[in-house]
Amino acid sequence: MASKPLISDEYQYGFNDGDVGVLKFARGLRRETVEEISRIKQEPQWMLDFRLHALDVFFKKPMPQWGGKLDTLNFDDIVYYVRPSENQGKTWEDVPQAIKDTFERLGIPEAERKFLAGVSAQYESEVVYHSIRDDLKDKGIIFTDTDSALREYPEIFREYFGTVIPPEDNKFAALNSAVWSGGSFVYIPKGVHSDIPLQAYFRINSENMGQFERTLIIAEEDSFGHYVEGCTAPIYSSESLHSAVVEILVKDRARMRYTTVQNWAPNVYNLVTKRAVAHSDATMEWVDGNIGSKLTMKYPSVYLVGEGAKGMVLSIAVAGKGQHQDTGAKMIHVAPNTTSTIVSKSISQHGGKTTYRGLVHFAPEARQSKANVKCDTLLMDDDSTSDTIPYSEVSNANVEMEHEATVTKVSEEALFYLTSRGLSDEEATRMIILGFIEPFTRELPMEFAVEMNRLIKFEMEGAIG
Amino acid sequence: MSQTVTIDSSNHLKSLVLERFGHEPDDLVQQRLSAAEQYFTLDWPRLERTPLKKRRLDDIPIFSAPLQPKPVAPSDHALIEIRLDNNYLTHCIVPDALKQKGLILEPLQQAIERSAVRKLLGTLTGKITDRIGALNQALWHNGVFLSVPANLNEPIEVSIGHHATDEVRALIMRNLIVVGPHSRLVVTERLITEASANKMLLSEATEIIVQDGGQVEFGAIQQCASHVEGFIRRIGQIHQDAVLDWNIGEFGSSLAVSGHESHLAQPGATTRSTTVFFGSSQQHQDYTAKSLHQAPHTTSNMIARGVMKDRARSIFTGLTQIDQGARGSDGRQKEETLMLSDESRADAIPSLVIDERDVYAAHAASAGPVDRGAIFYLTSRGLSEEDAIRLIVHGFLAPVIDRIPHIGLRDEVWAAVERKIRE
Repeated sequence: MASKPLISDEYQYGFNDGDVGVLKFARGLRRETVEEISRIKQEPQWMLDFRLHALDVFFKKPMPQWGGKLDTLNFDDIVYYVRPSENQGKTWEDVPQAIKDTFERLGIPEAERKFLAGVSAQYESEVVYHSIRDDLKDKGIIFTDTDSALREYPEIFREYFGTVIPPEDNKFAALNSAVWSGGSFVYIPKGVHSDIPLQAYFRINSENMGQFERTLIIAEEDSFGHYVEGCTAPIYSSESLHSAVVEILVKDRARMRYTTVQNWAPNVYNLVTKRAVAHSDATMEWVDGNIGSKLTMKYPSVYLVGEGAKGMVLSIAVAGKGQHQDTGAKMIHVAPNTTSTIVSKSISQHGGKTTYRGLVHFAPEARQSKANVKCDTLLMDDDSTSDTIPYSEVSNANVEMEHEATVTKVSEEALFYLTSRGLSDEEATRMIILGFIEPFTRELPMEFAVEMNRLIKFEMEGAIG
Repeated sequence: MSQTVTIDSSNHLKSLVLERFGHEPDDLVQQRLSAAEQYFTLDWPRLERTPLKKRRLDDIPIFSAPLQPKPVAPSDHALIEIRLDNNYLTHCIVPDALKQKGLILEPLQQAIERSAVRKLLGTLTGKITDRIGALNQALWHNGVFLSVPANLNEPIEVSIGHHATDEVRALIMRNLIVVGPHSRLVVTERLITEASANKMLLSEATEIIVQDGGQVEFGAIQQCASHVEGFIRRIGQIHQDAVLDWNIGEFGSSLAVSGHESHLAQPGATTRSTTVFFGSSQQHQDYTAKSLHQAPHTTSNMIARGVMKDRARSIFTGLTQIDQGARGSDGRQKEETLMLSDESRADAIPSLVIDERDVYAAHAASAGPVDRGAIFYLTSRGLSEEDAIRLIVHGFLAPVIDRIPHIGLRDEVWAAVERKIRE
């Protein structure tokens, strides 16, 4: 039976604003491109050296031979830097009208009206709007864009930048290190709790644009913070590249949560390196939603380096037509009494493909440590596929590792039960799907849970299967 | 002493192949020659977690001529028995009644005189992709052909023994087993070598075809000495409503790159597999088990349990693949490892590749230590710590070893476990 898609494949943020950039680089990547970015940003010499070294690493490293198909990604076709406005807006009124219109349509100022702790919006390569609530500023929390942080807090910046993810880590981390621009810098001082999420929004507008934001978060001892980001882009016929690096340090007894709802247009390559280091009794939580993009390769990881550290990854991936979500998580246990939890929920539909690729590693030092991994996949139709590839490495006799995974269709028994109670097929299917992803949506802040509900639209008519 | 041959070019290898196997039927000789050609162009298998460079496999004189062994008395494993020592047949016993019914058990070297056998050989192993594959196809010398005719209701029990003395440097073999429709076969393969100071290379390629409604239990126990570098590949093709069960015990050799693969080729095919491995001292075990669902309503259930002690290293890769169109299939995997030592390491990679919606697929993996509470309890009841650990290992392995239906094999696996605990 012909049916409307269960989860809307239509991308709602696919409009573009024309070319609003005031400065746009030529396509392609050369040494001069990197030097020019650094010059425009008036960076110190050490950062230029860092970028140029990273560029060498990028050129030397081969393309990854695993994961998704990267063959249509042409590095010479990408614009590596686009500056959308002369200055960063401090208040909403300062932002150029064209960009403001975009963000209005995306609901950014609305979010601020809802009293989010801070909002940062990145358009193309630069952060165009930034605001932080005064009471948080008074507590000493720093929430700014990464470029400003390099100028205004050079000591903290240099101490931590590139320490969690060095350029040598992988080809795309090297690329980001060479051409990074924008991103968020968050510093939460010792003992400070930020009760309300800090929010960032990333948008690509130009065709063949590469966005390379770089986020650095430092949570000092006994602190608590929650950072939330969202992403969109217009649909063009040719591909764009989003290659971010996110580094997080969670010091002793601190707790950090990082929430992403990634909804890039279906022509964006989303190749992101996200990693956190958790010290003694610290807790790091990644809440990761992947709905958009053509191909996402992203495996948020936690290095549990201090005794008693905890790591969690809670992720959901939805792959529709032409999409491949190659996502997962990595937990590296290198200290005693560390624990980690991975919960991954995937939905494949309309020929989409989801891959869970994860690693749990126990070093010899990780005595009395535990890991628990659970991956579940729902296949909605006959054209969709799913792979589950979990790696576990145990080099220690005093750890407990558990892994479980299932791949199923929507249960016919459950459908039968619900429809026999008077629900229509669509209502029943929607209820089953919502139940399937509930462990994820329950962890989202309210605004994002609403956003998720909008993204996952259930417009289905008739029975499935 | 064995005569050592050094081969340094494909032409040289080809002339050796002609010298040893030139008397075989032409098409087979051609196959061997083309494999010999590839031996020098292909590399040793590239395994993600098992680097072979340091093992200096090229230094093993694998081209040495096989050695004639002394005759050995038949064992009491089964009524039907074939035994090969140092690549030569020592005996082959088949009761006349079964011969008359059409059962064939003979060395593969003899069977390949018939073109029907040659046609089947290599259909499952497929294209050569690495040096081990080329070596096996170019120089396989011994192995077994077993053919069970259709509609034999009584289960046929067959024992295959491969033995090697300390002088043997390479054991290169192929087995081909064909089971006719609605027949039942229980076959057990034993690999045993004497200890030696020199390295030995073992290469086995086994193909099993189970025709409609056939039921096969394939059991194998590998207890080679620590000088052996082993590469074992076993593939089963399962036809309509047929069943193939694997019961594998991996205990010996220094390196064991080993695995079994089930091709669920027709509707209603079923495979179950039980793998028990026990690594000690510096052993390196890289085991791969695959269930490939190629037809609707096929089922697979893969279970593996391993114990790791000393500085042993194990990798268990499981793959459940359900192709598009294999509707109503059910694929499961479960892998568990008990770690007895901090120096040991166990990796598990249980993957699922699912291209069909109407299926159920699941896997579970776990690794854990010996329960200290249980040890405390047992030692407080007067057991030594060693005995307490022994009991716990028994308790851990019992649920899988007791799944092995063949009582003889089950006892041998238990004996091997006992020996590994004491080692």
